[in-house]
Amino acid sequence: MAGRAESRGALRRFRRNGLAVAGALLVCLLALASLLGPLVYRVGYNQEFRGQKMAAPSAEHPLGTDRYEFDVLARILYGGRASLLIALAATGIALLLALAVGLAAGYAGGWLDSCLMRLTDTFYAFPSILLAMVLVSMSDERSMWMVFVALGATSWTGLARLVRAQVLTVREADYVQSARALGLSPLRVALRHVLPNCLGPVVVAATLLVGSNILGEAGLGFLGCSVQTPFPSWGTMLFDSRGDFESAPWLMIFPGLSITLAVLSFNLIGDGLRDALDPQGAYLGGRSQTASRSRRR
Amino acid sequence: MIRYLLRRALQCLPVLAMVIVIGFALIRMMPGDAAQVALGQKATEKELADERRRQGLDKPVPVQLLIFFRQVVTLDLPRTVEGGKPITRLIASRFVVTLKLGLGSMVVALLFGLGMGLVSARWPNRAPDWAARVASVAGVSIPVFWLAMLLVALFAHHLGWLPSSGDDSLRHWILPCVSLGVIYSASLARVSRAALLEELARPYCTTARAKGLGKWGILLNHALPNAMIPMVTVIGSQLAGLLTGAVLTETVFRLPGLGTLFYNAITQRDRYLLITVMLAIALVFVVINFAADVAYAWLDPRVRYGRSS
Repeated sequence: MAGRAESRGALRRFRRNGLAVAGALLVCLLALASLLGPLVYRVGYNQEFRGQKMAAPSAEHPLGTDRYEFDVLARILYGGRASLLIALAATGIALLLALAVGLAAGYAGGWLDSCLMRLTDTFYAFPSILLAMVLVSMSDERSMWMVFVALGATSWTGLARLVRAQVLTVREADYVQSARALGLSPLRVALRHVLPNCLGPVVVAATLLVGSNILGEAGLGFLGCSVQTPFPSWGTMLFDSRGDFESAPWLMIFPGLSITLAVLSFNLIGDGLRDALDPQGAYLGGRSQTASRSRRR
Repeated sequence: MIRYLLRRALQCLPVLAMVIVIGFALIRMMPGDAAQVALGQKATEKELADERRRQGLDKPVPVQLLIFFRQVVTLDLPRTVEGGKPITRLIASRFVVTLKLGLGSMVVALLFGLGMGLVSARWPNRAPDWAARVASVAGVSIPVFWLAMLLVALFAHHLGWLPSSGDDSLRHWILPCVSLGVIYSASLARVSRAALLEELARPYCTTARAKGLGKWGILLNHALPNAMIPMVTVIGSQLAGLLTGAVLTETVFRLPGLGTLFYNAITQRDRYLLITVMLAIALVFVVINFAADVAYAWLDPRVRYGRSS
């Protein structure tokens, strides 16, 4: 019961945070635009408009056309599907990996902990976009699932360290000890009693990770390693604009703006959740180790 | 301190070994036949078999792994597919460019980030603080290469003040360093604000104020040195993140750094070059994290006496 009252309090604090609410609304708006937008604005992402190569924004093409004579607005709406879906799926994969590794390392301790943490350190040593690029470049076709698996498989390390740090603080709590004393199996104790009480900071970090995975997809796309034209994603659109953005700036302004807005809104939600879940606000942010370190101090 | 240094350095070794193992696995997982890639489509069966033997591809996988270990440790790697240049020398020359970009951006990031943090902490919850906070949230949300493209479109093409690519003079470095530096100043501003406010709330700052010290005096002479402790770790991990950002920034400005090399290696399907660049970057990551930990222990003695673990 106490937990429910606590989460109601957190929800209230979140609702009072204007920026966080704005972020949540913006995410809904972007999701709706990319889901329902193509039903309202009925232009296909690969519909060619002959003789209108790189036309400036006009009544007919609100955001102009690109070098392949495609309509930019239609591609932004469809591209949002790809970019947001890739970022969410990648975060889901990263979250699953992080929970498995962090929970096993933190709860079991000992040699398993050491092994898993060295593994995490190893993956942490590779810059995730570059590793994802190598993974994506291994297959010839650049399908969407290849991109999110690569992003997910390379972005879990910070989360895993956070989960482990959380598990370590919860592991010795009285209710966990009593669950163990009752003779529950270690797996059950870990999943039913330890895990739910670690989730607060993990949810915050996962929300922020969605934002950074949108940036990750944009980076991959910009280097030509995301979905391939004619299929659009925001990153791929920036890749296509690389040769022409000086003469036709709308080709890069609108996809970049969409990326920035999407990342911004997930960051605002993440910050709002952090403030709501941790009213004292002692958390200093930054990557991975900072969190556990500032707690240790 | 020395014991802490040794213990921490020892922890790096298994990580570096595993980095090499993963590099080897990635090379093996690459599609296509390595010998075919090295010789091109016209090679005969006999030439392919010779090339496979030369590269050690006919040996069992564990032996291949050991050979790869020896190649990496002794820096005796195959030459590049395009042009047949020695990989290690190529990487060393490209690394200098990336290092210049990274350090230049770090200076920009420190100036902007610390400046915004100090302004926020001087006037908390007032207009300058809000402006700095909005700027920093926006800053962590902008893709670095997009900011670079915007700056190029504005300053190089529209106004014509600065060159859009090249690395000959200092003027060429302004746009790349500013785009990358501004992005990284954003997270630095967030961390420095939080750290400074935390220090300002402590009793020693109240004492300083009671003794009649001005707000800037307390901030710069008392709070800032102590706030540096959490910031060092962040600056360390920032430097590592800066490398990733540098890769993307280099491609916009066509700077001949590690990033462009990495990108070319992918398009040319040069697997050894690709993985060696990855390994070089991973090595830099590990070294930077090590340096950040050492700096942290040096600034905060509690860490090195093991109270932390």
